[in-house]
Order: sequence, then C-alpha cells, then structure tokens
Amino acid sequence: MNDRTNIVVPLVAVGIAVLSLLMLCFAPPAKTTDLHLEQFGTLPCQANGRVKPLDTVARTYLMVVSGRQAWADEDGKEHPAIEWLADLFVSGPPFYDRKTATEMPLAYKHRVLRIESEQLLNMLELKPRQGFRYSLAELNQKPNFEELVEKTRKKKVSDYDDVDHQLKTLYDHVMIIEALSLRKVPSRDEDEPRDLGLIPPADPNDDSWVGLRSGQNQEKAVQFGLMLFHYKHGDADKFNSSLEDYKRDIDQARPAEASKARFETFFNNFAPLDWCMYAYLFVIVACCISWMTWTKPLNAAAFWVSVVIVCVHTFALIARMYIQGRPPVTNLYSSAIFIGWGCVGLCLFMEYLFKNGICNVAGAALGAATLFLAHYMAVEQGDTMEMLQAVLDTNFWLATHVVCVTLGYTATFVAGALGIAYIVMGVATPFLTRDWIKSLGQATYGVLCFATLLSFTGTVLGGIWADQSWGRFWGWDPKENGAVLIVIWNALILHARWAGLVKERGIAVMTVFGNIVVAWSYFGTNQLGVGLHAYGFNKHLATGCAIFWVTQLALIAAGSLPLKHWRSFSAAKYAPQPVKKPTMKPVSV
Amino acid sequence: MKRGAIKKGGPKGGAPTAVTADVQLPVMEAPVEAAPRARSKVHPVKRALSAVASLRLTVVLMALSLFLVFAGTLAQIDAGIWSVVGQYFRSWYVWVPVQLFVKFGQIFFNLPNGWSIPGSFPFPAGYTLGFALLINLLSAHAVRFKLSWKRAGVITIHAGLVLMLVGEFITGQFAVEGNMSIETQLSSNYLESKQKVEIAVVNTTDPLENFEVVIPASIARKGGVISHPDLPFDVVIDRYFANCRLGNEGGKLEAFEEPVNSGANASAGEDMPTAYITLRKKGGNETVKQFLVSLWFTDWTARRLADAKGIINSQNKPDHKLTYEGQTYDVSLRWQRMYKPYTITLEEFKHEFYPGTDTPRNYSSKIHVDRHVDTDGKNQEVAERDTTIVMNSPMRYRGETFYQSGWLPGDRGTVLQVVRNPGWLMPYFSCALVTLGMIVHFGTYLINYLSRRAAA
Repeated sequence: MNDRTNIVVPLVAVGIAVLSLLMLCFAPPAKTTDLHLEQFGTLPCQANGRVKPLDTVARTYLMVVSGRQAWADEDGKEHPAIEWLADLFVSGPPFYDRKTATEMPLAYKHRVLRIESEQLLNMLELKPRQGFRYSLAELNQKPNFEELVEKTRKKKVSDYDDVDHQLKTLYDHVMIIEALSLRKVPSRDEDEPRDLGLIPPADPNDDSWVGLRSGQNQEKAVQFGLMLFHYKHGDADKFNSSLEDYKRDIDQARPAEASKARFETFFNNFAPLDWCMYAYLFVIVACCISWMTWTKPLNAAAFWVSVVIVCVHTFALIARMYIQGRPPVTNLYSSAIFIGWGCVGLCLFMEYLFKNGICNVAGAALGAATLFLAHYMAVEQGDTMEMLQAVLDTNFWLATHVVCVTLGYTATFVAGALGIAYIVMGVATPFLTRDWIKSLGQATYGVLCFATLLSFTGTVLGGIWADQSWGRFWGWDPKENGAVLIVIWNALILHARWAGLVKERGIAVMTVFGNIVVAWSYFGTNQLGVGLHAYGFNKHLATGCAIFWVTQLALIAAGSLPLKHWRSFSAAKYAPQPVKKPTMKPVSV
Repeated sequence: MKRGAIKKGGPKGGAPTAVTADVQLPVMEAPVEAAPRARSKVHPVKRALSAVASLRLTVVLMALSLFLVFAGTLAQIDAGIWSVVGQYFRSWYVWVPVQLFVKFGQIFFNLPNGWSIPGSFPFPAGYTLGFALLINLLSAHAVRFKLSWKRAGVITIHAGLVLMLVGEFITGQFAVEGNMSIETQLSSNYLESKQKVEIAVVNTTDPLENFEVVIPASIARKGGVISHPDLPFDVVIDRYFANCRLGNEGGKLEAFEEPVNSGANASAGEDMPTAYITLRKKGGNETVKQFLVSLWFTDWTARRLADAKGIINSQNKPDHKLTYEGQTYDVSLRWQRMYKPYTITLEEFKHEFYPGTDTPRNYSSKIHVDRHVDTDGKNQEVAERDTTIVMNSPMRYRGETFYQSGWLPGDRGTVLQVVRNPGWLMPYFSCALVTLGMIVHFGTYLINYLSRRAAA
C-alpha cells in the first residue's frame, strides 16, 4: 500500500460523508401539494407544557402510532407528518360535523396505525399487508374492535396477555388520533386530553397558550381558523397567503418562540442523529474490511469519518440543549444519545492514543447501538424533550450530577466493549498478539480509571443533590444503589488488578461483567417499580435487559475458557507465547 | 509501583493458577509481588495486621458489598425502604430470602409468577462490611504507609472514603428526621416522626396553652396501668395492636389485629397501631371512660381512606374528648411529636404547574420563623426570620434543615421535612477529597504514560 492510498482513501471517505450530510441538510422537504405545509409546520404551539413547532407535534405522535415520521397513502406515495396533522385538525368541529357528515373525515382514511401482530390482525379480521399500517376508518368498520377493547379493559393489567397489551396499545393510539382531530393532545396521566395550545395569549408575559376555541385572543384564533378553513377546501393560494400573514403576526408577537420553532423544524428535517446512526454502521463495516485488506487507509478513513460523525452528534446535542434550554441529559432518551456521544468521543481519544483500530470499531458500535436504542425509545415516548418534574428542575444538578453519572456509564461501557474485543479476538481469531494484549490492556485500564472517577463523583454529587432537596444524602433507593454498584465494581476490578488477582484477560472478562452492572443500573432498576427515580415498568425493556445480560454472560463464559481453546494461543500449545507472525498488527504502537 | 504483600511466592515459582497461566507481560503498573515474608523477624502484631491489610481481602469485601447492595435493592420490591435500610444496611447481619432472586427472575426472565422458594441465608450486612472495609483500609495504610508524591493521590482517595463511611455511620446513628405540616396562615411548633407513634392525653382547658402527657409506643405496647402526677386518672392499656384493620360490624368501630408489615412506607402498607384504653379514677377501680385510639383516626391519609370506604361514618365517629373534674381532655394515638423551641408560620404556599399540564413545576413555602425566648418565666416569641423554602433550596436553621417535601391535600398548606444530621457536611468533603485524589492518581498515570510514549 503506497502513501497516496493512505491519504486518498480517508479523504474520499470523509468527502462522501460530508457530501451526504450537506445533501440532507439543505434538501428541501418532499412536496406533495401546492399548500405550503412545510411553512405551516414551523408555527409554534404549546403541548405538554413546552412551546414547539407543529411539525414536532405531528412527527412525535405519528412516530408513536406508526413508528415512522412519514406515512404512505394507498398508492404508496410518501407524505410528511405535518400533512397528517393538518388533515386531522380539520376533522373535528367546526370544520367537520360528526352528526351530519355522511363520510369519514379524510384524516381517518390515512393508513398510520401500525398493527404487526398476526393474532391481533386475525381477531380484527384485517388482512396482513405490506408495511402493516391500517387506517382508523378500516378499524371502525370492524364491529368487534370496540367489543374486544371493552373485554380487555375489564381485565386487570396484571392478567394481560400479549394480545391484551397489543390491543391496549392500539386503543391508546386510536385515542391519540381522536384527540388530535379535536385539536387536543393526550396527557401523560390518564386524564382527559387537553387543548393543544395553538394560540398565544395576547399578553406577551403570559406563557399559557390556549386552544383554538377557547375564546381568548380571538383575533389570532379567527386567523388560524380561517387558515384551516382554506386548507380544508384545498384552496392553496388563500391558504398560503393567510399562512404568511399569520406567520408574520406570530413572529412579531412571539419572536423568540417563533425562531426557536423554526430551528426545531429544521432540526427535525435534518434528523442528524438518524444520519449518525447509519454513518456509524458504515464505520463498523470499514473497520471489518480493514482487518482483511487495506488496513492502514481504511483505519484512517474510519477514524476521520468518525470524527466527522462526532461533530454532527455534538451538533445534535447542542441543538437539543438550545431547544430545550437544559443540560444534555434530562430523560432516558437523551441519556442514550449522550452516552453514545461520550462513548464515541472516548473511543476516538483512545484510538488517537493507541492507534489499534479496535477503539474505532468499539466506538462506532457503541454509537450505533445507543442511537438505535434512542430511536426505539422515541417511538415509545413521543416527544423526547418533555418537561421535567419539579425536583429535577435545576440546571445546576442536571449539568453536574446527571452528566457525570452518565459519563460514568459511558466509560464503563467503553471498557466493556474493549473487554469484548479482547475476548472475541483471542477466542475466535489468531490475531491476539503480545502487542495487541498490551495495547488493549493499557486502553482498558485507562478507561476503567476514568470510569471509576466519573461514576464515583457522579454518584456522590447525586447524594449531595439529594441532601439539598430532601435532606437525605443517601437513601438506598434502587437507582442510587445501581450507581453505587458501578462504582464498587469498577473499584473492585482495579483492586483485583493491583492485588495481582487478574491480568489482561481477567480484566477483560470483568469489564464485560461491568456491562451487566451498568445495564442493571441504567434500565434494570427502573423495572422494579419502586423508588424515587422509577420511570415505570416496560416489558420490552425488561426483556431487552435479560437478552443483553445473557449475551454478556456468554462472552464471559467464552473469556473464561482455558487458553488452549483460544485460537490466538492454541497454535502455540497454550504456552504464554501467542502465535508468531501475525497477519494483523496495531497500526503503530 | 510496589503494592502490598499479597502472594506467597511469585507467579513464576508458584503453582500454575488461572492467573499465572495468563500471558505474562511487562505492563507498566503490573503488581510487583512482594518478597516472601521474613518469618522470624516480623512482629506478630504486624504480621496479623498485614493479613488484615490484604488487598485480596479488599476485593472479597467489595464483592460481598456488591451482593449486599444488589440484594438490598431487590428487597425493596416487597418491603418499604426504611425497613430494608434497617435490615440490610444499618445492621450487622441480615437473613436474605431466596425468594428475592426468584422475583428477579420473574421480572426479567419470565419465570412463572406462581413460583416461590422458601428459605433464607445469613449474610453480613452494612455495618459489618463497612467496618471490615474500614479496618482493612486503615491497616493497609498502617502497614504500607509511605508518604510520597506518588501515593498522595491514593492517600487522599482513601481519606475521603474513610470520611464517607464514618459520615454514613453518624447519619445512621444520630440523624433525626421529622415532618412539619402547616396549613396556610397557621403555625406549628412541632415535628411529627413518621416512624414512631405515641398515645397522648392533652389537657385542652386553656385555649392558649395545652398540657400533654404522652405515652410512647414502646411503653404502651407492654400494656398495664400508667400513672402520671399531672393526670387525675390512670391510663389502662387494655389491648395494644402494633397493626390493625378497622371494621364496623353493626355500626360500631372495632379493631382487628393484623400481622406487622415488614415495610414502613405507604405503598408497602403502613402499620396502623391501635389501642383500647380505659381511663380509671386514680387509686380506684372506677372507670371514667373507655376509648379506642388509633393511627387510623389521626393520620390524614389513613383517615381519608377509612372515611372513603365508609368504615368511619357520621354515626360512629371515634370519640376523643373527655370532660373530667371541670377540665377537658383530648385522647389520641398519633405520630410521635417533637416540640421545638421555635414556631413556624406558613404565610403562603405555591404549587405551580407547567402551562396546560398536570406536571408540577415548582412548590414553594413562604414562611416566618419565631424563636421562643424565656424571659422572667414567661414564654415569648421573637421574630427571627422570613424566608421562602423552595424545592432544591432548603432553609438551614439552628442545626436543622427544612426542605420542601410535599403539600397538604388541596394545597391547603405545606409539608416540610426537617432533618438534624450532625454528619451532613461529611459527604461534601469526602466527595471533594476522593475526586481530587482520583484526578491526581490517574492523572499522574496518564501523564507518565504519555511522556514515556513521547520518549519512545
């Protein structure tokens, strides 16, 4: 491999990454009508306490009911979420009178309800179709839907079987559509849906936005209503011009909120985290290929593309902080993207230090995994920038305790990933040479130290926060216990190393157990349904945890195999000498 | 870097353990095995000390702590947090039920819900492990103490940890917690413990000043006759139930004994102490009046529950008043009160929500504090301070800390949590010390590594 390839390959890779980014960033949103719906989407409104663009409302609820942020009509043509929301807005009074109307409103015919369970489809007498999305109209035509829901509602939640859960979820989704058609939003607790705050109050200091028909700020409400009226009749010119007028007025009345809403719409369209998720996957592929051929240029390409991705990831975090006005971690979703960011950042730093190619792939794998997890959580959660409970409403502690603890999780995960790399390389490949052992061992040790520092400081800062807010430094709450388990485990590994009880391999195996401990602290403790930090039980998360633990235990078992079964050592008859003349080397140590 | 006497003989000479079979490498911070002990010259105390100071013991103790914390977390599925803290962390040993791990399997691994495995096993609890770690740590420093820049970080970290263990012990032993509930525009001068109860006989004749005689649960539980010079009658505890359920068969309120809950928090079911008492003329057998007293009547949440279920209704409202020899008395069983030398008046309570939601945004209590001063035998109140207590921003006053903890139903007033904890500052120092120590220790390692790399 000559020097030119070593430069050209990374350059080309980075170029492709940046180009795809620019295309995503500046591509106009898909146009399906002459109506300026993309402009309509930037209008600010208030839902669940936060001022956000209508676009976010449309996307989050569509995500919840459909699992996607766009929907396809009967011909398979893609439409943006905002079109669905706008159609829903004109599906309730005064635009649509349910008593006199002979036909279902248009929005009810959109195929957005996701029903993937074959059993449920059978029960509802629906035919499985490509994409598994069904319309409310289809569902309402089935006379037994209400009946089935009624039957499930009579049961106790603890007696629910799988179909009951699915039916309950489907019913919740139907209720979301019904609520939105009345321009209301479902509230988190079981209460009645509340008015979507479409109209800002006339007093600029009042921050309680009101519904379209609340009677307050009539002037704006009439303007908005007229806009929807034109929309209902498909009158593009009139709709567009009334939208322009309304937008101008809102810009004047609420300049800060309007510009933030515009930025958030741009952020939604750009969807940088989705791009990052796929880009990380490409890095993984590049790394895998680098183990077979083109080692040096592909490794460099992976590194520099990762740097580009991390920049985008950072931008996404900062953008979310700006939109929310909060430190980066406020809920499970944001913790996942923050942990991903920290993992990649830390791995890139390690890669820069050790240049072994392993840190690269570990970082990209962790980045892709956490973003995938976050994506999944967004489907469950809806708006990922929800308002915080009173006790959490403190930027100082969110910025210190929460960030520190999450970085502690991050570093522990990175150590675990390096441990996995060690085990997989040693057991399944002949590549684990002395150089590799040394390089991986040092990297793991460094990350472990970092993990211990952050998890300890973060945990104690949490205690101090607790002392500040309810006078108890330490309450032995499940989440606190989870955090302290991470600290103890990391400290235990370090002490076992200093005691000479374990060396590189032992540490690698122990760091994989660290993954189990972090998963327990991160998700597991929430499933117990007790304590101050409990976010509620989630069957999928519990199962996900269990599966993750089993995989980690399998890796631990593999790592504990006698060395004669390790491919890297078997050739040398389990002498402590690894195979000679390895085909793969760390790029430079 | 030298660390501790750990192994007899180095790995090269010793039996091939799993460790020694591992790949041997000249890692920079690899533990250097200590030379075999010089058997004769070492003082036996020092030899014992080095056994206690062993790093292996540290690892074992940490592993035990790990298990204890895990079990103590699982135990909270069923039991209240306070009983778990008492059993697992602030005690010397604990019996861990095997069923906990079955529960774990049921939540995560879909084990059938009906499964149940009886039995439990003993395990060292928080105090044992905490003290063992403390002794292990202190003797390690005693044996291997060496003041050098290289070890400055480690010493700082461990000093911080010692401070933390000691602080937690002090908290466990000496911290006192109570609640102060005040309705808006009213005052209070006492805290309520939410863990202990008492039977109180209050002379309410003077509307301005009441005199109380209280019988703590620890005495009432034993039953018998209780006599007090301030009372013109004796109190006979006929029956005392540490926990009970109320019934109203035939319209009459009755208490039925129930087994004691292991938990002490609301969700796990609170114990509801109840007693049948008779007031008897002093020195005679003449009954003045009989009472049924219960926490069911005095605890706000419990009372509301009993009212809502119709167990207590307008016909059978529990009687708690007595007029005897021209004096009026009030008899009740209530949360233990701690009277304070100050009075707090709630001027305003605010409970804000995010617009258009039920999500609370903030609670705050605007209060006024008056100190009680004894001048010439007269109790007087002196205005001390006006302040607002907000979530995350408590008031510290006379060694006690007042936190915004909750609110009375219907936002009628505030509930403050009041804590006196002589060890409250220790975690702050400890956190600072340990963090600093780790930065120094790991930072030194990193810098050494980087400079070595640059040199190579």
